[in-house]
Amino acid sequence: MERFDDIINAKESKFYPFSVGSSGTTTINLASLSPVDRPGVITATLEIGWGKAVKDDDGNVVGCNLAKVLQAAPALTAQLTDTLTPAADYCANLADVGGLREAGEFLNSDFASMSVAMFAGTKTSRSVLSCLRGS
Amino acid sequence: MIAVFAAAGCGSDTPTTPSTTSKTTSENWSSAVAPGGTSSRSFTVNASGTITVTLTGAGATLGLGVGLPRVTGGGCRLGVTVNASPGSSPQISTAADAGQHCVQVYDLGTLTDPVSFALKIDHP
Repeated sequence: MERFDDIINAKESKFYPFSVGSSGTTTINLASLSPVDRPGVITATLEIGWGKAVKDDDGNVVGCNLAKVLQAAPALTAQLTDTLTPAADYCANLADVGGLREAGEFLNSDFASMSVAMFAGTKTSRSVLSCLRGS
Repeated sequence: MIAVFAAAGCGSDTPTTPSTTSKTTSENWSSAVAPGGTSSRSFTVNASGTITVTLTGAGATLGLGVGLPRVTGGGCRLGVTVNASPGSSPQISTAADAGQHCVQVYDLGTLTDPVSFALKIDHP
């Protein structure tokens, strides 16, 4: 499992590269969206998705070419599940599509049966979208 | 009679699906929350299922939430919250995947002195 914690502002999007080590199910879970300055949650729907990482000539990941997106409110169960093939650099993306009125900390985590297969790949980023791979 | 038994014992090769029973774990926790403060506790969900949290005792209405433990610095990143007064029925009931979770009690901005509380967490 990889987990990404970060701050997202209204109308902003953020992506998180990850690698897949072997074929299997990848799930993405937006688990938390909370105010930066106080306890609680923000009730908002964000767009989560995954795609292929876009690299520059030096191999740096500079973008995320989205393949699948959906709108999701934070929950403690995965909202997005797909089978991804290895030997490709992927990215998880989180975007505000108008629901955020204040900056919020978001957490995207992936539980499901914490498969070791996820870690056969190379983690290229850490931050609050999380991808977990099960076998 | 013999024929009936033979048919019952050998007449079907249809496999049966093993039933899976998820054992529910109950955890009790008591602590205190200060004005403007938070108090958190982590717990492990062993299988996908339902987490319920019951604030059983408190001297005030408090914020109550369930989420994921912060990666650094302690505390809890909340996914579900309610304003809870103590009672015997769960104030939070939410589906969750397996993994590390946490419960957090926090001041809603009303406390002038620390308040003790007690709660019960039920989870797979």
